[in-house]
Amino acid sequence: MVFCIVGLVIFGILGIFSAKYRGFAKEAFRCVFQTMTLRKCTTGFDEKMRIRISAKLAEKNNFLGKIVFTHFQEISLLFAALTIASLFMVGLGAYNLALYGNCNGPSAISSFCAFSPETYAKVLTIDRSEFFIILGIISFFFSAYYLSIFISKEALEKKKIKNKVLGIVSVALLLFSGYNFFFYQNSPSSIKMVNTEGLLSKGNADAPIKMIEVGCFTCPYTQQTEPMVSEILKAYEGKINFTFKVFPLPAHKYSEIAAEASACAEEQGKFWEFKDALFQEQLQCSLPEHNAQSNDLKAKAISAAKSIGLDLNQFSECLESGKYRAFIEKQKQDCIAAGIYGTPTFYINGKVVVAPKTKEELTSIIDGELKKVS
Amino acid sequence: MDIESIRKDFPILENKANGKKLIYLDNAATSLRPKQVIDAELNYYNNCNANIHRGLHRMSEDASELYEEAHKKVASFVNAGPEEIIFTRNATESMNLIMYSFFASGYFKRGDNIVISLAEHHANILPWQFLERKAGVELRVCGFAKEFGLDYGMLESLVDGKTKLLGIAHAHNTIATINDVEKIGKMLKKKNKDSLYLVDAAQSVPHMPVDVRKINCDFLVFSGHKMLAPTGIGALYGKKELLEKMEPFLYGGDMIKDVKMHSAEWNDLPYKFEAGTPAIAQGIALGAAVGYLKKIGVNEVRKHEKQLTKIALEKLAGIKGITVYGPEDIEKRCGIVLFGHEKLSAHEMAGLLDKMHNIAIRSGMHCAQPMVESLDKKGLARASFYIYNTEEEIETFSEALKEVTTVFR
Repeated sequence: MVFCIVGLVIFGILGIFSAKYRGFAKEAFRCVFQTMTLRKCTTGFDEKMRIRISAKLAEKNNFLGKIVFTHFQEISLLFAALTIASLFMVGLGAYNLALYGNCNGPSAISSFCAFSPETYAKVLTIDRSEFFIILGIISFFFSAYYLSIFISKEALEKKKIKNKVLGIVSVALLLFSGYNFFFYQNSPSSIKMVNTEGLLSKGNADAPIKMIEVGCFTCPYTQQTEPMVSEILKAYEGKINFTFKVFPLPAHKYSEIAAEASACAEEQGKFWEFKDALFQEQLQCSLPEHNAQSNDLKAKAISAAKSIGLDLNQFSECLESGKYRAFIEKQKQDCIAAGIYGTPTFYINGKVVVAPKTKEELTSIIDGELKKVS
Repeated sequence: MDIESIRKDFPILENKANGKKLIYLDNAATSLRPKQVIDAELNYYNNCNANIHRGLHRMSEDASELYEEAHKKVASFVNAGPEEIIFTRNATESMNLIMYSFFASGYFKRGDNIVISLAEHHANILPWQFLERKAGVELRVCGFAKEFGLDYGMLESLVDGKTKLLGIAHAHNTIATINDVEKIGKMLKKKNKDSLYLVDAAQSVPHMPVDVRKINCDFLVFSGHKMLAPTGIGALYGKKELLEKMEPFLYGGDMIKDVKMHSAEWNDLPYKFEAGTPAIAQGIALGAAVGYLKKIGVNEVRKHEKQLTKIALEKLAGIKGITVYGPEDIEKRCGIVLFGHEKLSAHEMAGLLDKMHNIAIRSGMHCAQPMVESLDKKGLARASFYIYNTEEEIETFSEALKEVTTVFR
């Protein structure tokens, strides 16, 4: 049954190109269909394929053939799990691409996207949460298989030590990946202090609270927290020293242009105003019309610059020259080095909050810190 | 017996897969066909394509003659009268013919019994199971004694005054045991002279001399496709006096002499039992197959198979993990070797031999599930030999089996 799923996908795809594989695909489909409708698979498809594949392999190498022959069930489970996991990732990627213009979601750090060639990263990286999703799906399949062996009466003779051990290992792996995914992975405690050297700050330099926001101009979540941040800065005026560090998300096509533009605005002493203007009419990655052309986005940046009264010639020249590209790249690398996995990330006297949903998540920490000082 | 020239008559043996020549060891399931048989079938379509016993044109006369000739050839092959050989589709249909005909005439009554053995082919079990349900007949099953020999003592004890039929295989398609059908016949008629005696000769007629007069059975059935003939043709031998009294099995064209709206007179034997247009080309080709076997000499066939079986048994005994089921005495067994492996299943062995060595053997229950299941719940593998198999092939087969069981154990 397990192999039938893999077979259906593989032969289904191969069958598009060659009629030779269509028969196999049909057989695999019949097997999957029978099992889905709670009947016994009568095709013997997996058994036939098992013998076929191991015989082929044994011609090249006896040992290889034997391994596949004796562990066919486990190997098919692995492939089935990988197939499901990759189908899941592809689906997720396509969904994100349609919605945000990149495969990895609105606050993604990873820039790899198989769907849009221009965003290919130099190195393919799987972040930890993806790793544990895949590990989780694989171990789920194995756990389900071994559990079914222990539950089913037909397979009594299969209750060997090997199966018991593998069953326990798969359940343990499932729990481990679940734990990592939900509790450990991407926890704010894994984030290190970020470098703020040479960055502008706002408010009393000696204020008891040092608040750093790491955000991205094209990230919708960063934009959503903007009103929250201004309210806090107003309410705690004089008590907070605020720094904004830009983290141009690699997955967002225009995040770097926006970041460079902010540096050009800073050149004319209007960083904060420009930041507000950018967020007001965000170069949002979620709006399709903004994904069209980089020139459009430059125009947007220029219109934002115009609205706050910047010297447009100087600004455009600065943007064209790309002189802040290295600086922005350094900001990005700082953030990646600190292990920041989502924007906005806040540091309040070194305490980390990732993407707060409510103002209270921040104010409670600020109040606590203030209490300590007094 | 010149095997090399025999092999030339079977072009299919030249077929290769993976660069390896076909080794066909599934003859108990169906045999290969020589050119002569294929030509005979082709000749009918090319030269005398007509219905039989219907037209007065040349082709119809030629076809009728060839078809009748085939009956005579088959009849003489088993020492029967030509009117005693009925062409059916196969041994299974022959069995069903007997069952339905006697069932229709009310021969089987509640409380009667039918005796068979544990190792029977499904064709010699299921028709009688039907009578168990429909006529309240008791089905009695004889077991096997040591070394896979039929338990003759038990068989005798099962037969009584209420026994209406005893059906037994001449040679079993799984455990390969050859039963002493003459002895069984004598015992049966001695204990109950009115009981019918049916012999399933599907595995014996193609491979060894069979004489219905010597066996003195009432019915004997066999298939054409296991003896070099095409599929879709088989035969039923029945004693003339019985066939004359019996109710027809199928009704329709060709099985009648005279038809009125409310009555009919049946045709002469054997056509009384061959309703509708029969498998003419296949029947003619069965005649050619019998001719081919006669030319070789069925005694020679038996001798050759004994030699192959002897080699196979010796070789397989030397392969670790292999268990062979069946009598050790070559004289008491036919050219079938049934075996299992301690680790590999029969299907696995068969699949691997096919894919890696282009060797065709059979695996599973072999249409004799009660027997095979009593030996191994998952089924067994079977190699079965025929005239075109060579000693080298048997050696290659056992080497391949040795390799497969060593690599994949």
